[in-house]
Amino acid sequence: MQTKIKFPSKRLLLLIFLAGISVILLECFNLPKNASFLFNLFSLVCAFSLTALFFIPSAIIKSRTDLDFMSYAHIKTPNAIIFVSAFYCLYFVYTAEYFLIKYCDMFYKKLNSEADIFAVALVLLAVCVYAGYKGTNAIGRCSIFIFSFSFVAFLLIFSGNISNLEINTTEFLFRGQKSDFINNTSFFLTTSFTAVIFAVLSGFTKNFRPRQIAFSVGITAVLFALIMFFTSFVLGEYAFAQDYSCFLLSKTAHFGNVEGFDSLYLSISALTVFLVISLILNCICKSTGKSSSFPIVLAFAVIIFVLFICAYNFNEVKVLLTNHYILNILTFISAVVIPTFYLFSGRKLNE
Amino acid sequence: MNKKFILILLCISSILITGCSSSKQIDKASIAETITVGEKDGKTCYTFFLLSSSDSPVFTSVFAESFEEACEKAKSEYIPNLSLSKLELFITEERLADKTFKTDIKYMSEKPYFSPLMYVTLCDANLTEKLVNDKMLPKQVEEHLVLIKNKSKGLSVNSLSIFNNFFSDINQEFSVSYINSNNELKVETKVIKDEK
Repeated sequence: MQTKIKFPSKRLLLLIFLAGISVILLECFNLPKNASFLFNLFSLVCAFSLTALFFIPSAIIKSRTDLDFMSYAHIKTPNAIIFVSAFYCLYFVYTAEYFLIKYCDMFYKKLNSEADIFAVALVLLAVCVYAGYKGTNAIGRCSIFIFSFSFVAFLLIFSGNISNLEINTTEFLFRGQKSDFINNTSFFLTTSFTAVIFAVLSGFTKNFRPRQIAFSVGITAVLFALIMFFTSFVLGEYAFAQDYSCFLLSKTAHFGNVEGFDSLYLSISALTVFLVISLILNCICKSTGKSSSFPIVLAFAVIIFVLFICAYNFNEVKVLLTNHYILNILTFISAVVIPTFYLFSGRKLNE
Repeated sequence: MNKKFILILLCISSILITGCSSSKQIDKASIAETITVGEKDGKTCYTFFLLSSSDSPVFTSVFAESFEEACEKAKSEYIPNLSLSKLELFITEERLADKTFKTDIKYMSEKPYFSPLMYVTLCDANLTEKLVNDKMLPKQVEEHLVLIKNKSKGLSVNSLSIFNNFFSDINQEFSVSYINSNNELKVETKVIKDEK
């Protein structure tokens, strides 16, 4: 039920920012033990520079034609669009699965190990199906509330940890190994999946300016850097004792006797994963050529749920579906290779 | 307007569903607030002081070699609904520090339900005996720890700080608080030397 009225591009970039932060909230990735803060910061800057580059092809298409990539591809290659659509649908199913599994893992490890994980996934998907059917505009409006909530939550988490800061000057030395750099960069690069979301959904927006992308990616990078800073200088060795350093930070935040903001962390995680999966369901709709269709959203949600059941029953499937190297490669193809191909061969295809 | 309301309601319900799934009825849960590690008849004894409305302390003692074993034993044999997420104070008798302190801290750091800001201190043998008779004593200990923490900046009084000192490569020794209860409560500092 996507309306035809275009909404401001800023709102989509706000959605992209919120979707991007789900990566650090849901990842049980630990920064390398022997790498310094400065080294990790360097890999973060590299990864986010690459992420910004991933946006370029779709941003060019949007600036030149005011179309999203799928509409552009549909006009350029009406006969081959089915293959492109199929690839993007598969990519989005993989991405949705990636985040759903990560969220359910976090739920199981940090919140309730006795909960029925399939019921959690089913409830989450049901909410996402509704939001996905409502369209990007509705999700965008919802994102304003989620952004305000996240802003307050992160403000409390960071300010509550200031009193715990212990600045260790050795962390400012440039120390780390090549493999650490590759691991870190690959992990931070996971946020580039937002470039594909932008490529597919940017057609619904108006007043697009390239600086909006730079701002959105920049703010996400600053947030990641802040989390990394507090992880290094508040948690120290403790960060390696458990997964989810952001969760630990929410537990160590305190104002006098008021402590433990882990419920805020869990709420932001739930809200951001809801945004990610709703947006992905919306992207799937768009990839199939329809702006919004309940049967398509429902059908793909069922596919995602079936895959989720498989992932939890067969560990090999789970490992495959939660591999961020695979996600990055697929993102690179979806956000850079295919749109660039269309950009450069645009004229030939026209002829 | 109605649709907006439904969307907001769905967002809020997604928070509530995740946040309340692990809730327990307060009267059914056995919430441990303080744990002491002492010695009885030559064996290490972990005592779990539970939240209660009675005037005298409600506690269960478990003989175990480590905190991990004590938690498992307590849950399986004595307190099935034991909740450790509200644990505020962990007190170890100084004579047992070499035996249990480091492993207990490590265990606590690995479990998500323990607060990293939980107060951890050493004490003399009298304090563990006094705690079973005086319900207000843990609060007094905490107040003393807050005061000494504000005075001595280098002192480690919570599990986060003690863990970092034990397991970082930098410090060979560090200071923790020590409760002396011979006459009245008095907080001192003890230096812990740790081989890295």
